[in-house]
Amino acid sequence: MSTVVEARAVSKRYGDFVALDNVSFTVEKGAIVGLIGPNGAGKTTALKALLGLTGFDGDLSVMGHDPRTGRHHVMENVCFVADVGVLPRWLKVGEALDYVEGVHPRFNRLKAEALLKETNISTSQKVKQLSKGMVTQLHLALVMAIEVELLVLDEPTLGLDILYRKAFYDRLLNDYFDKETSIIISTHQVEEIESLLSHLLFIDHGQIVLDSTMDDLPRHYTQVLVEPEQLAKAEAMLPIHVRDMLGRKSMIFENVDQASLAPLGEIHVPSVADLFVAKMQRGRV
Amino acid sequence: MKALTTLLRREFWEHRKTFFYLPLVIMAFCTFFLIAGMGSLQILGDDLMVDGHLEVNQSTPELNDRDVYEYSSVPLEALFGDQLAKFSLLSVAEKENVLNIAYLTFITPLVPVLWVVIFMYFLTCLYDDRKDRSILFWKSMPVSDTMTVVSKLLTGLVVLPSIFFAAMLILQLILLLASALFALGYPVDVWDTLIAPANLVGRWFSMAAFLVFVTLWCLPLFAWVILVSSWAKSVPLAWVVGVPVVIVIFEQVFFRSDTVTEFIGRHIFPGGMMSRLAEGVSSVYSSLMNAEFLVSLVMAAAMLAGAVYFRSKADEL
Repeated sequence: MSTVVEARAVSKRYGDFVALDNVSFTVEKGAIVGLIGPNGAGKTTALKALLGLTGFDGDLSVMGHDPRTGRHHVMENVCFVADVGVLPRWLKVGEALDYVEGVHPRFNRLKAEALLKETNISTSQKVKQLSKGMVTQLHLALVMAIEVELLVLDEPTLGLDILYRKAFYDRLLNDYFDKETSIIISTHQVEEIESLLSHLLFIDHGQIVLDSTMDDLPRHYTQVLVEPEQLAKAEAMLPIHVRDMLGRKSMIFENVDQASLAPLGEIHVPSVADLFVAKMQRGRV
Repeated sequence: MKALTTLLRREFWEHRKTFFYLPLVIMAFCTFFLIAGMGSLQILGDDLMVDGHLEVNQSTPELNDRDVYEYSSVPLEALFGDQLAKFSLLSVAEKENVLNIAYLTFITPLVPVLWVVIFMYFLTCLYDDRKDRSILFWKSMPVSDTMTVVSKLLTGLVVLPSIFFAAMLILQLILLLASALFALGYPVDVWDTLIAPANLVGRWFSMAAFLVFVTLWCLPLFAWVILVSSWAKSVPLAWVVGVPVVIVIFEQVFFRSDTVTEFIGRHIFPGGMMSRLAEGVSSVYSSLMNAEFLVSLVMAAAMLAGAVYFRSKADEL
C-alpha cells in the first residue's frame, strides 16, 4: 500500500502552549483513520498542519507535497470539511457550485447537483438561510463530488442532531467505502464512527497515545470482566483501566497475553469508547 | 484563466451591494436631479408666464441681471430658445468648455464614492474571511495564496473602476440624450450645439486614462490597506490609519522633516492629479514618470508580497 500522509516529529507551539508534541504517524491509501481525542488535545491543529492551514516544525508530507509551501497542490488531491459554519453566509448555493467548478479541476458538477437534489436545499438559497444540518449537507455534497485521494473531516457533525449525524456517516460510508480514497476523521464522539474505521489514532496533550489498526486492537488490548475472587490477582497484572460494571470489575489490559487473562473472567475486545476512556484517564492520573 | 475569472466573480458575489447596486442608486440620484432640474426650469417658466408670455420684473432679479431679459415680456419658448440660440453662437472651444463643466459635474458623485468603495473593499478583502472562518473553506480549494491576492488586487484596481466607469459613461449618455431631446423643440442645430461639442468619445478616453492614473497613483496606499487586511487580528482600519499617523508624528518630532509626511499625503487622495488632469492627460502622464512614482510602485509590490506571505500563514481568527 502506498502512503498518503507521512508525519515525522511534527510539533506546533502557540506561545507556551504545546499543541503538537513530536507527533509521528502515517496514513496508508484506502485507510479510514479516526483521529480521536478530548477537546484541546491537538486534533484540529494536526489536521490543519497536514492541510497547510497552519505552520509547524518537523517533516510532513501529504502525497509528496510539503503542505507549508504547496497547499494549493495538496488541495488538488485533498478535500476538507471542517465543523459546521465555514461556508460563508453570503454565498448562494448556486454560486458555491459555480465557484468549486471554476477552481477545482476534479469537481463533477452533475454529481454535486444530484446529491443536492436528495436534500431540501435549493440553488437560489443563501448559506445563511440554511440550517446547520443543511450547511453540512451542502458542504458534503460539494466535497463528495470531487475525486480526491484524501478526505479530511474535522468534527464534521459537531452541533448536528442525531438524525443528520447518522445520515452523514451513512452517506460517507456508502460513497467512499469501496473507493481508493483515504479518510481522516477527527471527533470526540467515538461510538458513532467506530464501525467505520480501519485505523485508530488517539491524541492527548499533543501526543499520540495510541496508533493501531482496528484489526490489531484485539492483539494488544483485552477487556476482562473479572470474577470477584480473582480481583487481587487481576490487579497484580496492572490493568490500564478499571471500572465497576454490575457488581463486577471491568478491566482493560494492554499487551498482556490472553491465555494468562482467561482464568480471571470473561474476555472481550474493548470498545473504542472504553479504550479511549482508559487511555485518556491514564494520561490524567 | 478560468480559475481567475471564478475568483473575480466570487468577489462580485460577495460585494454585489456595493459593486452593483450602489452605482445604480447613485446613477438614479443623478438622473433624478437632472430631471428635477429640467422640471423646475419648466415650473419656473410656468410661474413667470402670463397669457403665454414671460413676465419679468424686480422679483426675479437673477433674470433681470442678464441682458437677454431686458424686455419685460417674452414667450416661454423664447426664454430657452434664446439661451440655446446664444449658446449655439459661441465658438466651438467655448461650447466645449461649458459642456465640459456640465458633464464632469454630472458624474462627480461617483468619483469619491469609487475611492471609498475601493478602500473599504481592500480593507476587508483578506480580513473578513478570517473573521467568519470561511477562510477554512477558501483555503481548502486548490487556489494559491498569490492567486488569491492577485484576484483581490484586480477586483479593486480593474473591476471596480471599470464598473464605475461604465456608470459614468451611461450617466453622460443620459445627459446627452436629455439635453438633445430638450433642445429638439427649438430652432437650433442639436448636433452642432449640444452633441458634437460634448465630445463624449474623446472624453471617455481621457476619463479612462484618468482612472488608470489615479489607481496607479494610489497603489502604495491600496497595497498598504491590503497588507493590513492580510495581517491585522482586529480593527484593520485602526492599523491602516494608526501606523502612518505614528510615522508622521515620529518624523515631525525626531527629524523635523516632512518628506515622508508629504509622500503619504500626496498618495492618499489624488487631488494633485485632478488639477493636473485639467492641464491635459499628457501632463498627468509626465508626472507619473518620475523617480518618486517608481519608488512608490516598488513599495507597493513589496507590501503586496507581504500580503501574500501573511495570507499563506493566515488562519481563522
